[in-house]
Amino acid sequence: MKLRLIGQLLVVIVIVVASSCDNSSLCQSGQNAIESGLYSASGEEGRDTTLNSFYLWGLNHPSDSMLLDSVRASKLYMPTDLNRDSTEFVIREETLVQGTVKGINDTLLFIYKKNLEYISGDCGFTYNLELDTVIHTNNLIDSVQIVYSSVVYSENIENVKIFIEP
Amino acid sequence: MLKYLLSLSLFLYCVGVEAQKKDKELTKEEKKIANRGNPGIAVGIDLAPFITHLFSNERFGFAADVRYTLNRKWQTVAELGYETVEIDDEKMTYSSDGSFMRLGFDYNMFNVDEEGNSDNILLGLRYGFAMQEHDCSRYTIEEGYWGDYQSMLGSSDVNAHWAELVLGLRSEVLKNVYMGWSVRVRTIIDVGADSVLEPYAIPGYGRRDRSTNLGFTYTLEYHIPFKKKK
Repeated sequence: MKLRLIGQLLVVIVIVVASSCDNSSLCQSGQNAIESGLYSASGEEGRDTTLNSFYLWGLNHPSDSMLLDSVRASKLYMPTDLNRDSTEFVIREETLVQGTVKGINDTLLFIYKKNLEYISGDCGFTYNLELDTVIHTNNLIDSVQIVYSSVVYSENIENVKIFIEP
Repeated sequence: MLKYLLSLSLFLYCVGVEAQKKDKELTKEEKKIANRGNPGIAVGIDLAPFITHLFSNERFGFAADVRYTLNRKWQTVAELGYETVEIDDEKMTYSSDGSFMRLGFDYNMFNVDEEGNSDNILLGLRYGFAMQEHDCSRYTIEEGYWGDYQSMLGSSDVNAHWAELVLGLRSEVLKNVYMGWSVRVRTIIDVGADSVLEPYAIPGYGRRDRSTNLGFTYTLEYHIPFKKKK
């Protein structure tokens, strides 16, 4: 009788523990992208801005495919090339001036260090990045500031502030 | 989860069988004799790795145990085994080969109240140690825009230490043949890896990406008594 009672108690414990331990991990993609916010270089410090008709693509991308194509943008997710220690992007804004489209381009070069990290058996590996330097041209961009240099799996933190010329 | 359901169904079957046994009231003297215990040494195999392989076919292993029954209450246990892991999917090609040892004791909480009953309700502790060699001949990090990144990590050694709490049942199903179940809560003490490569699974412990694991064993043992039963 005693064995039966304790056996039933054990079954309950097993069910509770088994259900609490079965936490299958969800894998995240696009975790090696640098998160950037667009800010106005004029007026109040840190005021974010939105650019209309905005374009973003990777320089020397094998198929020249666009990351953003004529969209309103205030935040940018810039995926890095894991086969290299730097990635270059072009940003472009088009405006309509007296009936004609005028485009301004800038180039951004991100230089980083890569650190391999094992996530889990289900999700495999990832590269966490440590941003070292950002080099850019100054047509549309006023300045660039690295505010959080680590690009880490499962973190969602702005890495770079891009200040746009007024 | 399925492996736990299978374990539970088999476990419930055993509980049901036990319930069918007729109880017979023993005198105080008979109880004393029945609770003397059956000191001896038992050797057995753990069938749980074969069940695990059905639901997690990348892992395959074997485990055996030696149980030394000191008296009615106390048993010391040594469990030995090995496990291989082979994974080849879009994330990585990985292989591991290792052995483990778990040492500890079980305390029998069951007071016998019927003649010839050799059942045990066991509460125990184990210290686990595993050594393994593993390698990742390919890993792929998906990158949708620039293209995937592929590389490899060579062979490296890992030593792991863990502790486990054991709760189980053990019953004599035939003369000197015992069947036992245990549920184990395992927690990692230390994993010493000399590479960024972490083991997918630690032999005798289970999946590495969980710092606390639930495990189970299903053992069949042959008991060699030190004294003949009266």
